Amino acid sequence: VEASLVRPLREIVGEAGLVTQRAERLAYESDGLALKRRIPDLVLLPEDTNQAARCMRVLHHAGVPVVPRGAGTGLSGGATPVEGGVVIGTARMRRVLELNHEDRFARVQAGVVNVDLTRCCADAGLFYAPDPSSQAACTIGGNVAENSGGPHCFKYGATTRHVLGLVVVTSEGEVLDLAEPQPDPWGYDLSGLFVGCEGMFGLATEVTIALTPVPAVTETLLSIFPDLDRCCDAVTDIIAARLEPSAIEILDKLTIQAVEASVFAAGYPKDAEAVLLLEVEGGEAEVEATVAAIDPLLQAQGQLELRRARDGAERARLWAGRKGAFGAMGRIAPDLYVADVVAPRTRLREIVRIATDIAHERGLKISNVFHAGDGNLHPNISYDRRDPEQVRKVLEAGDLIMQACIDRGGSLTGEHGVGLEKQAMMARLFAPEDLATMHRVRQALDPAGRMNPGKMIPLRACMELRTRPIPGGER
Amino acid sequence: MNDLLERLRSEGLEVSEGSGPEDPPVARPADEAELRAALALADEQGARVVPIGNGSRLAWTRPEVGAGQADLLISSARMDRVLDYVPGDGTLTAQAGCNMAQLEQRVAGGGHLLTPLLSRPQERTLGGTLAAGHSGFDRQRRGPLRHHVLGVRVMLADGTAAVSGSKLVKNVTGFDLHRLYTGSRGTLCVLLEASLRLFPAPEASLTAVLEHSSPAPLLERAAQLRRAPIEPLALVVEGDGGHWRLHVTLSGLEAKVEAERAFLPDGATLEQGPAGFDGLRALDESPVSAHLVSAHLVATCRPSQVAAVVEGLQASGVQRLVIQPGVAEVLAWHPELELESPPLRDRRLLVLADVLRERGAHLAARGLPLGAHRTLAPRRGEAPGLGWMFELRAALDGAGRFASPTFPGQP
Repeated sequence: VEASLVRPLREIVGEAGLVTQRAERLAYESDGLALKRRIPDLVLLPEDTNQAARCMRVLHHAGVPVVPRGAGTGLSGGATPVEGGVVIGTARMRRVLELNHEDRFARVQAGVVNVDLTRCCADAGLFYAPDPSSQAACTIGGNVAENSGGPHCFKYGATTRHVLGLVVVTSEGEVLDLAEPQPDPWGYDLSGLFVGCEGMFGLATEVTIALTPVPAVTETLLSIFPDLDRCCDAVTDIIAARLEPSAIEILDKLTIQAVEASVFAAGYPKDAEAVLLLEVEGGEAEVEATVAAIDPLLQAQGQLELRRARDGAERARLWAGRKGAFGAMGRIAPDLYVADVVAPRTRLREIVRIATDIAHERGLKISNVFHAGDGNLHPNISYDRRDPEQVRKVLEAGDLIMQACIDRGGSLTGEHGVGLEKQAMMARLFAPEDLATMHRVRQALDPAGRMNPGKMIPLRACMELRTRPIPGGER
Repeated sequence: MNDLLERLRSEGLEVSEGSGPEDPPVARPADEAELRAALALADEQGARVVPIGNGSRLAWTRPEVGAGQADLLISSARMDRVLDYVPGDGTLTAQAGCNMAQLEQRVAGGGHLLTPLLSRPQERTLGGTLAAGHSGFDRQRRGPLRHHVLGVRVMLADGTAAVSGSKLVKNVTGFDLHRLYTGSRGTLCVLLEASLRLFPAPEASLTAVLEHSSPAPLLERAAQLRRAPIEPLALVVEGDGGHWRLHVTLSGLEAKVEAERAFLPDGATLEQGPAGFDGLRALDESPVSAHLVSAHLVATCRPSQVAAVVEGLQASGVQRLVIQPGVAEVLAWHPELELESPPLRDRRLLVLADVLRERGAHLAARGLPLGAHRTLAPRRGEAPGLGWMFELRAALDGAGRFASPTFPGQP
């Protein structure tokens, strides 16, 4: 980025909105995918839509690529800086603009943290349903970019089902105001198209979000299993029985042990091969009936014990363990590769077994903690990135796990996005025509291809051009 | 375009002539190869093409067809195979020409329910329903139809067949183009296949109907029910003149329905079981004169604005309204508009649109002649996002083969 560009940008965002010093820019060199890093030339932190639009106009005229960034908690490299580009962060866009209890929506700036949204509407008996593990840090804008999920998406759906409207700044700096929260707006579903675009259509600066009534009763259950396979089969049985808990999560033995040895210790039994964390919500009678229907299915698969959270504190502890699981893995090795794949829910056991075998064949430590009810698996491989051979094996294992999912009717990502991590694998899942159609849509909305370039869609959709992360990252 | 008809036939396509002089011919390809051939011929001749299912809802999705402004209809009705129903996964994948009633029956066998809950499903195809973006009366609980479309396979005007999404209930791989296509009224592509999320067939269901001489108390009652700790499948206020009804449908586990029953309004008549669903379906297209017609107008707004919007519509002389207060959609039957001269009709529509805009609502034509649709369709710059919509249409259908004169807006 040329120095002459900095002055007009400084005039727009002020000193507080401009990150120029190398030491400060270092904080933006990657998102949660630490294998891919690049220090950005410049970071801008506008305070509102107006500032963001003015910055985008300046960058548009200068032909500078833009990488949108929320909290940087993404795990697929969606916010990895690009060469010659500017990162626009939403860290200073943290205002709740409107809270409408009657119509059950909130209009927020993109930098509002996920969990803060629920906090600010809790008094009205409402909450924001998508709850990724990073919800204490991740932003609503980032959730929109990635179409983030979380455990409770089993019942409530991922981000896209909760976005009622958006304000988007286009790559040319125009403001597209789609914020009005009408359930079925006129014309094409632009908000639905935008959610999950990984920052490649524009910069979302405001989001109109549907809020959900807090259920009358919440029952949290911990089902303890002596066997991971049968724990998976129990989930398959619950789905086949058409029961509707709000969350169905599996943690395997290695995960349990890591959590119990950490500050997130939740009281999971350390000798269990797997636990199933279930939540059932609704009216009292509905919850009781659902639990009564689930229990025999769990028993039939060899459940050792079914524990019910006795109070809110115990429920919170059980969920803190689940959501802190990725952090707890730091006890196993310094680095963690968090895979994010999807399998048909009838094939959970098979995919978990294959992933485990792939890792073990390479001498890697693998643990599983995942959204079993949605078929969204997170085989986590612990490693040390200072060891190039380990990095090579981790990447190879990641590829093989994704391929196994593709071969069995699954997909590359359930909630983390494609970003850089899975970009090359897109050509294995999609035909060239599919990718070309995505590219046509992208070109329509960002003709110069300056929004988050080089992400998601392979440059050319053919296997010969597959790329893989460079061991040790890029500097 | 007579030559087009002959050329299509010479390619082996099943083609029928339109029933009237203004009606375009209908090509019914049996597979993707035939569809591609039909599109290539249409492109060669510069024909205006409207993709259809059975064509049962064209009056409100593509009114130009009735006005003689389409050259060829291409129906997907012969592409009607169920490709994959996985009861254990709760998903269905079918070709676009599948009949909705048959799909409902098929998944019922596995204990599932299909959304949307629409009238006369035997007349509708899967592709037509998705293209129309027609959410049913179960939207109160389920949300709009597009939330449950997991993936699609489409053919673009240039013959490119492309996939978006998958059969999986959770998946964020690639852009969600299937959300773009759902509700695009055939202006972007021909739908070939779609995968849908299914729902458990309810153990029990109960529909309560409460009557009143005016809609306002029923809308207030509906607002109370929205605030209550229950999850109705459907919440509808409908009626005309001095006869109005609130319909509340509960469904799910027997224990849930029994517990939620306590919140139903006193004095309501109750109907157990799926018969209540049938009653709801019938509201979608109601008799206002001698025959069933779809609504003439549709107003959308925020839920809190529904009562004001209803007042505005009543003052304009509508004959009948079907209101979904929770999802803030009001269907209006206004037979007078059909009888008036186009200039007078259009003036009345513009006045009504202004009145409703002041009350926070957007008004669109639904079952009126093309001119009325044109009057209410936004022009570039009038609706947010219309510029992007035109860009998207140009990107996917550069020649404008599928273009509509009214949707998503006027050029």
